[in-house]
Amino acid sequence: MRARMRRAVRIVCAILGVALTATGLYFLLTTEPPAALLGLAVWLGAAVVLHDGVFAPAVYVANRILARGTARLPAAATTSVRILFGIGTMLTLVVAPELVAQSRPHSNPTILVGDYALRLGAVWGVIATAAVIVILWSARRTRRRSDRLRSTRV
Amino acid sequence: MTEHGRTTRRGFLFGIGAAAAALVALTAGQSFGVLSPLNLFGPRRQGAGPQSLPVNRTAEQAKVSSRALDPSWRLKVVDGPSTHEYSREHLLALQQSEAELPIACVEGWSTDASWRGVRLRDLLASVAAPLDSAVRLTSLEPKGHYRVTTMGPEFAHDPRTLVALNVNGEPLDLDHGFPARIIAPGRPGVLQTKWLSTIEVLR
Repeated sequence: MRARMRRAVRIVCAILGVALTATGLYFLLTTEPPAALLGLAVWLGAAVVLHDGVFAPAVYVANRILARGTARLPAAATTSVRILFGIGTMLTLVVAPELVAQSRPHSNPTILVGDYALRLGAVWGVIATAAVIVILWSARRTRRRSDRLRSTRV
Repeated sequence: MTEHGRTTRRGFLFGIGAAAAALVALTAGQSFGVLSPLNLFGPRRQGAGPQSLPVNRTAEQAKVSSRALDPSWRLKVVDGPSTHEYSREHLLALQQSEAELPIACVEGWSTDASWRGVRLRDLLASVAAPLDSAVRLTSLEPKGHYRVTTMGPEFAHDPRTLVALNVNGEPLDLDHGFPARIIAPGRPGVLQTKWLSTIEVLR
């Protein structure tokens, strides 16, 4: 029953998704001039290149380094710590171009108005603290569970 | 969620979701007021700029300052062979209207502002332009992708479309398009022509 329900929800979601995409495509192709469509294709293509060529490899490498570092952590904490550091890596990649642009002369005082390096540092501080809390918490939980197992055996 | 050091599907999807949520939360404040206090990494900040409004392209970048500050500036409303010219004082003496409209930039930021000026449709009516006429808007800037733009009749005759002279209670800053600019609902920021020079009726 539950499996059937789940299947039905999935089918409805798929139909809705396809219908929405088709509507969007229809209006895109019927309202935009060819030059705009070409520009859009270039923009979307560049986004894919940037994601697959820069973003994904960087996150992958960070994740591999982290996999080594987290090998001896309690199993329950590993995924949470990886997600936290993945978020940190992603935000660093987003902020890096802002830091580069900020270091170069620019004549518009209303853009790049924040101290992004300081803020990124603060976010990494929050991430590190959260990681430590998660590790301590899951270590405690693991210890309690094994204690309980031992006490039931006696 | 982790089996033998490998990430499970659930863990992976949760990670993607958390990363997307974090990025939206920390940058979308440059467009959405509710998230503004969390806007740590957006390149713009709502309200940061002259008259509490960010600037996409400054007068200096557009090399338009001397022309825009020239006291002999006149807004030309052209309809075929006839041309009407308005000084800024003349425009200020006409009936003024107000509109709450955002500058919604395609760069990804958006800020609301209170605009005050002359309704474009009033100016068009003064030259007896038909209600289905589009207009061509030209800026004083010597060059730029959007120096000349076309506006369809649905925008040109909308009562909220203004030739704005003031923003947030003050005369337009030079960087916001002094002496006069266009502000219309539902148009991207680059089409809200600043340093307006000519309005041409297209019949």
